[in-house]
Amino acid sequence: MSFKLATRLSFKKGIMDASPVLLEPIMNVEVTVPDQFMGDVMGDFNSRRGRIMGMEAHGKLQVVKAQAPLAEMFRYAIILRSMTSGEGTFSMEYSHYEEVPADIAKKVIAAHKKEDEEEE
Amino acid sequence: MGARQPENTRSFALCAHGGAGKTSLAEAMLFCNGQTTRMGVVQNGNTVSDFQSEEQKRQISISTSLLTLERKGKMLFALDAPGFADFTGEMSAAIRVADTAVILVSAVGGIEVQTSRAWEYAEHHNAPVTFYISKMDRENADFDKVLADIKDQFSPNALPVFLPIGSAEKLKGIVDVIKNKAYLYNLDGTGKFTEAEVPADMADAAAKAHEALVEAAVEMDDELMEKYLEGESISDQDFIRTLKKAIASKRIMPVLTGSATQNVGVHQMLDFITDYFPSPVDIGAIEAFDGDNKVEVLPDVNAPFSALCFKVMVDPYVGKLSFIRAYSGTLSSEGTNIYNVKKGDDERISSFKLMCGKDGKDVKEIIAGDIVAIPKLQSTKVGHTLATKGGAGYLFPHIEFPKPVYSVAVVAKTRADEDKMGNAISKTLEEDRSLTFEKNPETHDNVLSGMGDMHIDIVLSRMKERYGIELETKTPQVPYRETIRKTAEAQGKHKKQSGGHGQYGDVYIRYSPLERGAGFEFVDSIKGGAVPNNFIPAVERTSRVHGVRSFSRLPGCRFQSRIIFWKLSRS
Repeated sequence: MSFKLATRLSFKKGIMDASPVLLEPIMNVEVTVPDQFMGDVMGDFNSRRGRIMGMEAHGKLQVVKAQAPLAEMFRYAIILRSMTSGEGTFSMEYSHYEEVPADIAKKVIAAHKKEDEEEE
Repeated sequence: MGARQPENTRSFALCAHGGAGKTSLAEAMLFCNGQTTRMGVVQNGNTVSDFQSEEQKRQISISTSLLTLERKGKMLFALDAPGFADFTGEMSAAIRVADTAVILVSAVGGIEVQTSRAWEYAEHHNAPVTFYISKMDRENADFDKVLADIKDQFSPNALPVFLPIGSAEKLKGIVDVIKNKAYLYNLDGTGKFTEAEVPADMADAAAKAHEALVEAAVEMDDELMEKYLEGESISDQDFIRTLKKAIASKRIMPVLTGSATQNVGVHQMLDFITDYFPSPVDIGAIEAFDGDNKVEVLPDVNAPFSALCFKVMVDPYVGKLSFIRAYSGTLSSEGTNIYNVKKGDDERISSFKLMCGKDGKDVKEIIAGDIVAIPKLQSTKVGHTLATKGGAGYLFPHIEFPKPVYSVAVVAKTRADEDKMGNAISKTLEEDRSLTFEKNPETHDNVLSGMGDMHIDIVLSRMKERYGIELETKTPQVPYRETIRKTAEAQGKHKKQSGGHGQYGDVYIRYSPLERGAGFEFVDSIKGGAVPNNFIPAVERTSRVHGVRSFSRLPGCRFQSRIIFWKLSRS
C-alpha cells in the first residue's frame, strides 16, 4: 500500500517533467460528392482540423480523401447530408494516433478536470 | 391452390425518395384489387404497410412491408420499401429479391437523391425497371418534364406506356398506349372508371408513344425487326411477345403514371403488372455459390428447394418472422423441416404466411418465386440461404448493407434498463442490419452506430416501446492516449506514522519514451536484491494503472513509455 501511494506520487511528478502529450485517433475519411459540393466539403475539412490527402473524379462524382481527428467527426453524417442536400456519402476508418494541438489539449484537460470535480 | 407455376408470379419493389407515394400506391393497389374496403391514408396512420407505431407517428415507412395480391390467377408480391436515406439498406435488399424495381418519381418533386439511389441499386442488381410518375393530381404536376429528366439522367430506354389526361385538378384519367384506349376517372378516390377512345388532342402523342414501344420491342427478334424495317405491320401478338422480352431485358423501361391518393390509373397499373412484368421464369437463372463454384439456380418447381432470407421482423406478440424469397423448388409446410445452409441448422416449419402488412394468411406450399414469411425460425438471419437437408447445398451471395456512418454512446437510464439492454439490443440488431453495436474497450462506451440521427432516434424509441427500456444518448468519448516526449526521474515518498502501524514507501522511477506503438514496458533495474522482491509487483501494477494529472481520468489512456525501476528503499 505504501509503495502504491509512493509510486503514484512519483508518477505525478515524473511524467509532468517528461513533457507529456495527449494523443488522439486520426481517421481516414473518404467523401463522395457531386462536383458542385467539392468546395464546401474541402472548406469544411479545414474547419475540422482535417487534411485533404487527394481527390479523384468518378464520372459526375468526386471522391475526396482526407484525414481528420475522430473528435471532429462524430456528427459528420448529419453535417455532410445537410451540406450536400443528401447527395454526399462518406466512409471512415481508423488510421493512427497523433498529438493533439496544445490549445485543444488544454480544453480537453480542462473539461475532464471539471468532470472530475463534479463527480467528487 | 392447385399446381401453381412460377410463370404466374410477379414480384416488385416499390422504391423512391421519401414521400413520393410508395405506401399510398400500395394502399390503392390493395383497394383496387378488392382486398381492402377502404383506402388508408398515410397522414391518418391507417395504411396497411405502415403498421408500426413509429411509422404511423412519423408518417413515413421505416422498414419494407410485404403485400400479397392475387389477380387474374396470378400472385403479386409487392415490397413497399422505405424511401428515407437512413434506410437505404432496406431498399437495396427489396430490389435484390424482387423481380422488378418500380421506381416512383413524383410529378411535382421530380428526381431526388433517393430516386437516384434506387436507380443505382436496380443497376447493381441488374433488375428490370418500371418508372411510375406519381401525384399527377397535385398542383404543378409536370409529366413531360419528369419524363425528360428520367430519360436524361437514367436511361433513354424509359418509354411511356401510360399518358396522363390533363393534370392537377384537371386530371381526367390515363391513356394506355399499348391498348390505345383511354380510362376516365372521377377524382373521388373510388377508383371507378370508364373505358373510352383516346381524346382527339392526344391521339398523336399516343400514336408516337406506341410507335416508340414497337420500335424498341421488335429489336428482340431479328425476323420481326426485318419485317418492321421493310414497313410491314407488326401483329399485336408479336408486339406483346417481344414487348415482354424487352421489359425483362431492360431494353424498355415502361413509364406508368396516375394518382394513388385519387385512385387514378391504379387498376390499369395492376393489369400492366400482371400482363407484362417479368415472372421468375423470364428473369431466368440466379447466381449462387457452392464453395468457390458458381451455380445457376433456375426457378424450377421440381428442383431442390432453395430460398434467401432478406428480412427479419421481431414482433413482441407474434414473435419472430423471417421473410424469404424462394428461388427454386417447392416446399410444403407439413412435416418438413427447413435447413439453414449457412449455419447447418435444421428447423421445423410451423407455417408459411402470405403477408399483407402485419397480417398473414397461412399457405401450405410455396414454390420458386414466392415471397413469404416463416414464423419462429430461430437461427435464420438476413442473408442466409435456406434449403432442405441433403438438398440444395449452395449459398446465395450475402445481402449487402451499407456501413453505419453515425455513432452515439448509449447509457441506460436506470439499473433495470441496464439489465434489459443487452437483450433488447441483440433483438434489434437481428431485425436491422444497418445497425451495429459495440463496447469500446478503451472508453467503455456502449456505441450504437446507424445510418443517421433519424435512424438512431427511431431505433431507440422502438426499443422503449417494445421492451420498455430507456436509453440516453451521448456523443461517444474520444479514446485519447498519452505519451511522454523526454526522460525524467522522480521520487515518490509516502509516510504515515501517526498511530497504528507506520507506513513508509519511497520509490525512484525513471520515465522515458519508447518508439511509437511499443506500448508499456516496466523494467526492474534493482541490482543484487538490494530491495525485497515482494515490493516490486506493487510498484509495477500501480504504474500500469495510473495516468497523470487530469489525464488520469481519461479512460483508456496508455503510456507509450518505459518505466525503469530506479531505486527502492525502505528504512
